[in-house]
Amino acid sequence: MRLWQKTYLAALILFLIFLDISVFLLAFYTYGEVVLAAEASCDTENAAIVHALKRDYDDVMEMGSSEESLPLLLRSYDGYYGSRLIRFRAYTGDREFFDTLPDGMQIPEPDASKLCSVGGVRYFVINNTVEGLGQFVYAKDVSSLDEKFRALMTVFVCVSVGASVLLAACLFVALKRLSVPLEKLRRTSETIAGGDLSVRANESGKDEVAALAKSFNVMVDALRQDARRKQALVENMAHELRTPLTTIRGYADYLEKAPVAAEGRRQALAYIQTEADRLESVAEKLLDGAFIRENGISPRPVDLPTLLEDTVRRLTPRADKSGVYLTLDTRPGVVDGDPALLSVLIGNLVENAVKASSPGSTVRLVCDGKTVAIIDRGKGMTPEQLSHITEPFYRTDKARSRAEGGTGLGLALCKQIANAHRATLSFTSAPGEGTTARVEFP
Amino acid sequence: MANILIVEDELPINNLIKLNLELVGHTCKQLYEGSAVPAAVADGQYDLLLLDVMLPGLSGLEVLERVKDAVPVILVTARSQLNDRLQGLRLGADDYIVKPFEILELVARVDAVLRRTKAVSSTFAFDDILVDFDARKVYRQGAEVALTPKEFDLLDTLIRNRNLAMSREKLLDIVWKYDFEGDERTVDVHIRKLRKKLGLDKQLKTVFKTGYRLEV
Repeated sequence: MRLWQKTYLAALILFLIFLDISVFLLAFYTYGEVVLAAEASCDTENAAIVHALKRDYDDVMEMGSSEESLPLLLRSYDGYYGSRLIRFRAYTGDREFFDTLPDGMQIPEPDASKLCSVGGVRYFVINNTVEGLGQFVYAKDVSSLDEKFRALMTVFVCVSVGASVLLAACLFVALKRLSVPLEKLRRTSETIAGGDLSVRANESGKDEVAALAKSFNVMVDALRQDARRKQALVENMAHELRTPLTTIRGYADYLEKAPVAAEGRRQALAYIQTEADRLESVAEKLLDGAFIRENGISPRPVDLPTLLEDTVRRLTPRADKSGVYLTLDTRPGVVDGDPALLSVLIGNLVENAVKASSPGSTVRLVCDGKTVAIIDRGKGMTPEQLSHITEPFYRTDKARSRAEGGTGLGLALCKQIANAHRATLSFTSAPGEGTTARVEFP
Repeated sequence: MANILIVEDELPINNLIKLNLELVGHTCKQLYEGSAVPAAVADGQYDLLLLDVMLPGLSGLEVLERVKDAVPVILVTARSQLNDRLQGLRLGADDYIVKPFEILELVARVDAVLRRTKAVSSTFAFDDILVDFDARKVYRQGAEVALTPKEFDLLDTLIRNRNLAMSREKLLDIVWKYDFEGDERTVDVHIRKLRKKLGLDKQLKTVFKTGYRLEV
């Protein structure tokens, strides 16, 4: 069941419960008020009748009639009030003067009143004590109250049912409308899951759904960038693998098919060898990267000064060949890491610095115990180049890099090694002023 | 033969293309990046441009857009994506070659485009032989030599791929096409006849374990 459907049912059920409770409370309250009003009107009527009866009775007695005339008087009252659903009884302790009350009616205590039912008819009964006359019982048929109550209940039920139906319909439409953006978002996400990253969720509005759509779009953009990066990586990789393959295959083909002289043969074989070496180097770096990604590193304490001294010793012949001096300025420091990988990391950075430097300049290695900086005064890089240098197969100077046997993977591998050590690898550079590579250990 | 400009930034591949095209008689000039290409082809001295797609400077597709009216273009691409090829053809390239390529494929595609653009001569002469491709006639010392259609096709193929060893299989494939169920001795028989009729014993060489090569 959909969320909006659940919401709909929950809201509808709660509303119906509260509506019906309210309606019935209201109905009972109203009925109570009606009964009170009826009782008050009975009281008034009773008082008027008693007053009139007393005066008439006094007049009759003054004219010298006996108590026997009381039934007659009452009969005339009955004749008048009987049509207004009022019945009487008059009695004293031992005498009964007049009685039109229905059989079996419970008479309240003197000077009290009550509601009672006789044969399905409801009466409001008042027992008056009339001076000089005795007990006078007033009983009013109030069955109309029940009818009123029933009519009232019918109205309330109708209103309640009508309101419920109307609410059910309105709520349905409203909630369904509210759920439309969510539904759209769901469909968008399905499209994206299907591989189409060009779609965007509708961000209009200010509610939570719009906020969700916004962060959704941010996510899609990130996915898209990632996909583009991966696509570029795959294309670059295809290019990097095909280029040496084309050379190797092409020259092998050439050697097989063409009448080649000794010099051409030597050149073709040299190309094949160089390109095979490059393929091997690419494969090695890719495998190194994959190995780190899969297995992580097994860290142990590495003494930075020792590592740096070893690296400088290892690379001095290479630097000498380019006429570049290496200097080392280090302070004691121990970091956790894989010494072989860290040696690759620092070695690659130093090699890059040497490649960028012109003969006679110096590459400085500076270590303060937690940070290693490799500073050259070489040709430097533009901010644009700087932003790409750790991308696989990116080369700032393609022709030269390839001529020197570069794979375009060195800094990508460095970045991976740094990440595996939770170290940050950063570069600052300006064209013509040189580059500083910095490895900061945590 | 044709005058061809090769634009490819990978030196070994550029040299490879040049070596092979020169073997079959073309003249080649080499460039290693894209931006100089439009100026180089402007005077119409080239019959064909072989253009790498991934170039520094101006990309191959950008170059293509500027030069497509000046010269026929074959794109050389390392990417196998259909997308690139289609885009290249839509932009007006005459054909494309995907790296890594075979020499014979390179030569065949170059030849096909040159024929289409009429940049190859319709005759070919070597030693005392003259071949007229349009008339499908061969003359030796000025006298016509009668060749069967298959013999002529075989000679045609060997000339177009001259200085390259052609396997018997390849020759069968090109000359007899796939409708032929014969074996590779058919090729040997026809080669022998060509040698005899045209006196090509010296030029039409048997390459050990590979096939035949017309060396001129």
